[in-house]
Amino acid sequence: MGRRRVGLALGAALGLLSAAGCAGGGGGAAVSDAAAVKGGTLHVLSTLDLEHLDPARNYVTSSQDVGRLIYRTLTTFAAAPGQAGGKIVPDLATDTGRPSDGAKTWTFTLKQGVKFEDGRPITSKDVKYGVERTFAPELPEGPPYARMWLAGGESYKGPYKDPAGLASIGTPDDSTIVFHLNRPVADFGSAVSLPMFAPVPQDKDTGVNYDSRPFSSGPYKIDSFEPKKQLTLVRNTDWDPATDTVRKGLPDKVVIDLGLDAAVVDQRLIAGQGEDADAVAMEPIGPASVGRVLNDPQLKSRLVTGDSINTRYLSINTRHQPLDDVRVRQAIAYALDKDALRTTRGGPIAGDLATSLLPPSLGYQAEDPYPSTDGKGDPDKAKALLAEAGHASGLTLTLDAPASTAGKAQAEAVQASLGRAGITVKINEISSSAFYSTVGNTSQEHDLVIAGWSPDWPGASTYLPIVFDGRLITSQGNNDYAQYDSPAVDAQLDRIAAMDDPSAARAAYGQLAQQIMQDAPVVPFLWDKAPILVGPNVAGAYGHIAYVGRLDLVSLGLRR
Amino acid sequence: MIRRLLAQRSAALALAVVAGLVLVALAAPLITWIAGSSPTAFHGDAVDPALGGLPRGAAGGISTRHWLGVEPVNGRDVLARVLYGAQVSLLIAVLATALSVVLGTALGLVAGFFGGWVDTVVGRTMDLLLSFPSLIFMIALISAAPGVDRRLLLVVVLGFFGWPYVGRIVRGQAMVLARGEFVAAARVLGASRRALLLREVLPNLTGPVLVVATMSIPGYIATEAGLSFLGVGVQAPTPSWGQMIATAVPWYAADPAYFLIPGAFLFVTVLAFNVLGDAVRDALDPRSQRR
Repeated sequence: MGRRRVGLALGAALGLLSAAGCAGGGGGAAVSDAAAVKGGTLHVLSTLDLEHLDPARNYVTSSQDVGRLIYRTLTTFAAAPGQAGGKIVPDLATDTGRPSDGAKTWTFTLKQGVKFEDGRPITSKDVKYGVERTFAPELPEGPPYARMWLAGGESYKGPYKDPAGLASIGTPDDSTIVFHLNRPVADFGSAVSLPMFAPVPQDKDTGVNYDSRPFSSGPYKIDSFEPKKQLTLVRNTDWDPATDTVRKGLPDKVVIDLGLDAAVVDQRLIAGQGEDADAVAMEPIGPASVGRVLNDPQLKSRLVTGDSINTRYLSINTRHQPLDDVRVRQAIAYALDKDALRTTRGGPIAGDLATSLLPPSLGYQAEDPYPSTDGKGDPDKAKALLAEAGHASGLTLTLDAPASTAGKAQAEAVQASLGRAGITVKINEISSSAFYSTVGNTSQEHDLVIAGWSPDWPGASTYLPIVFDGRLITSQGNNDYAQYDSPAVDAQLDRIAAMDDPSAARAAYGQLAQQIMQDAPVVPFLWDKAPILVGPNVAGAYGHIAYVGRLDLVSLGLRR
Repeated sequence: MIRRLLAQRSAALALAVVAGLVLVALAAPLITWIAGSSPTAFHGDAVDPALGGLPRGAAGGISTRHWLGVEPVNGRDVLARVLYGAQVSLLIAVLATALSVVLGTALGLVAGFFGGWVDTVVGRTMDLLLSFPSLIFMIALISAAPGVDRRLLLVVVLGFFGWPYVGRIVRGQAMVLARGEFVAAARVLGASRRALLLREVLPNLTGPVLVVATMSIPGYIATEAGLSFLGVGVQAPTPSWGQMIATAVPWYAADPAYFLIPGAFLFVTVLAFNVLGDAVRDALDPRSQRR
C-alpha cells in the first residue's frame, strides 16, 4: 500500500533483507497456535521506523501491520496465512458494504458495542470525520482513494479549513454511513480496509500531532511512543473481543523496538534467550543468516515463511535514449540474471523468480515472455536484439540504487548480468532515505531503477493503473519509474475501470499485463516471500499476504 | 642509509612485505590470468543460493579454481578482488601521500624560510585544516560530488587534508635551517632566495619528509578502507579492501574466511608500512636508534 512501493523498506538498515519462502512455500509454514495463552509481553524487533501511525497518513506496509493492533476499520483483511489472508472481512461494519446505484453508492452499518479506548461508542460520525481528515493538506502521504472517488472530493480541503464536512459522506444515524462516489467502484468494500477509514473522534484530533498518539479503537492503546526507538502498546480494556472476529488480543502488552541493526535482530532471535524468547522479527532474515537457520532443525522450526502479493522489477526509463527502442528494453529483459538478483536477497527462500507482472498469489498464471534457463538470463539473445537495434558495440546505462548493503548487492548483480550482453551499467548510489523522492523526480531519475509494487488489496486495480498509466506521470513523487506512456494501455485501463463485473475486470487486467510485458517497460524478477524468525515462546505466527509476508501481529500470542 | 635500514631485521622484513605487496598488486592481472579468475565475474555455481548464497566448500569456498575462496552471494573470486583491491588501495595511498608531501613541503618551506606574514597565513591555514572534523567533511564532500571518479576524488580529498601534517614538520625544520651557518654563508656569497631555498634548505629536508611520507601511507590505506567501509569509497564493481570488509561484516559467523582474508591483508600492510616508517626514522636519525 502505499508506498507500497517496497524494496527499500526491507533493505534500509545495514540490512540485508530477503524475503522468502522455502520450497513448500505458502501458508503451510505457519507455526501452530494451539498453545497460545492470554497475557505476557510480546516483543517485536524491527530494523525500520514507524513512519506514520496517524491513520490518515499510514500507507507503509509495516506501519499498517502495527496500526491494525491500534485501530479498526470498516472492513479488514482476514487473519489467515496464504491467499486466505487476502479475503476482505467485516471489521467495524456488519458486512463488507452494500453497493447500490451501480456501485456508485456504498452503505455500511456499524456493529453494536464497538468502543474507543475511553469507553464511548464508535459512531458513523467518527468514521466520517476520520475520512474527512485525510483530505487535509496538513496530513499528506496517505492513500489517494478518498480524494479520487468521493463525490466533491477534488475540491474539499479537510475539516480544519472546512468544518461543514464533506456532503458525499452521509451519516443518517449513529450506526449507518453512506459513501456517494463519483464513479462506480466495484471494490470499494476492499478500499475501506485501509487505515484512512478508521474512526477518529473529533475532540481527540490533535492535527499533525495525532501521528504520535492515535486514539485507539482496537485491542491495544499507545502507552508510550518514541519515534525511531520504541512503541509500547498496552491493552485497551474497552475493546470487546465479541465484536472483533479478526484480532485475538492475546498479549497484555506489545513492545516494538525500532531502528535496530538487521544483523543484531537475526543474532538475538537465533539465540532466543531471555526476553527474546517472547520476540518476533518485523523484517525477513538477512542472507548471511539463511544458511545458519536452514542447517539447524531447531531454528528452521522457528522460521515462518509468508507469502506476499509483491512484485519486484527493474524499471527501464522509456523516455531516455536508447531505451525508447523496445528492442533494447527486450534485450535487457533477456539479459537480466534474475537468479543472481534473488541470491542477493537470500536465495530461493526469498521468493519465486518473477516472469510476468501479476504474481500467482493474485491468482494469475505466470507466463514468461522472455525465458532463459533457470532465470539466469540469455545474453546471446540480448546481444542479437541489441545488434538488431544498432547497438552491437554495446551501450552504457546508469542504474539508481539505494546506498544500502542490499541495494548495492542488487545493483552489482544487475551490473554483472547486463555486462554479459555488452551493456555497461554505472551505479548511482542514492542515500536510502532520499531514494524514492529522487527516483520519483523525473528530472533526477536515470536509466534504470530497481523498484517493486504491492497492491493495496489483492487484485490488479491498485497496481497496473497506478504504475503504468502514462497520464499519472508527475514530475515529483512519480510511481511510474519506467515513465511508460502508452495511449493504448491508458485506454484499456479506462475500459477496465468502468467494468462492474469483478471477474471480467480480473481477466481483462491479466490480458493487459501481457500486453504491457510485450513493451518491456519493467523486468519483473521476484515475487517475494518473507522468511521471518520467531522466538521459541511465540505462538500463532504466520506471514500475512497484505503486509509483504510479515507476521500478522494481531494473531500472535505467547505459549506461557 | 639503506644498509643501516636493512641491518634491522624487522625493517628488512617489513620492506620485503611492502615490496612483495607492490609486486603482487602490479602483477594482479598476470596472477588472476594464471588463476583463471576475474575480480568482477559472478560465479553463481560457486555459491549455494538455497543457503542464502553461502560459498560451497570449506573455508569460504577455497578450491583449486578459487585459491582464496569466493564472496558469498555473488561468487566473485576473493583472490582477484584482494589483488585488484591492493592496487586500488596502494595507488590511492601513494598518490595521496605524494600530493600531501608536495603541498606540505612547498608551503611549509616557504612559511618556515620567509616567516612573517607568509608564515602567519600558512600557519593559520594549517591550524584550520587540522582542527577541521576532516572525516565528516570527506564523507560530505564525496557524497556531494556524484559522477566524479571516486579514486581521483579520494586522492584529492585525502591529500588536501593530509598536507598540514607534512607542512608543520617541514616548517619547523626550515625555520631552523634558514638560520643555519651554511645558509648565511651562501647568502653572503650572493645566492638568490630561490637558490637558497632549493639548493641549501630543501635537500636537508629530505630525511624528515621521507619519514613522514612513509608513516602517512598506512594512515591513508586505513582511511581509504574506512571511507569505503562507510560507503563513500571507490565505486562498485571496483574492488577495495574496505568495501570487502564492510560486506563481510554480517557474514562473520556464516563465512568467517571472507572476513578474515581482506582483514589480514589490511592488517599486514598497515603494520609493515608502520614498521618500515619507524625504521626509516631510526636509520636517518642515529640519536633515536634503539639499542
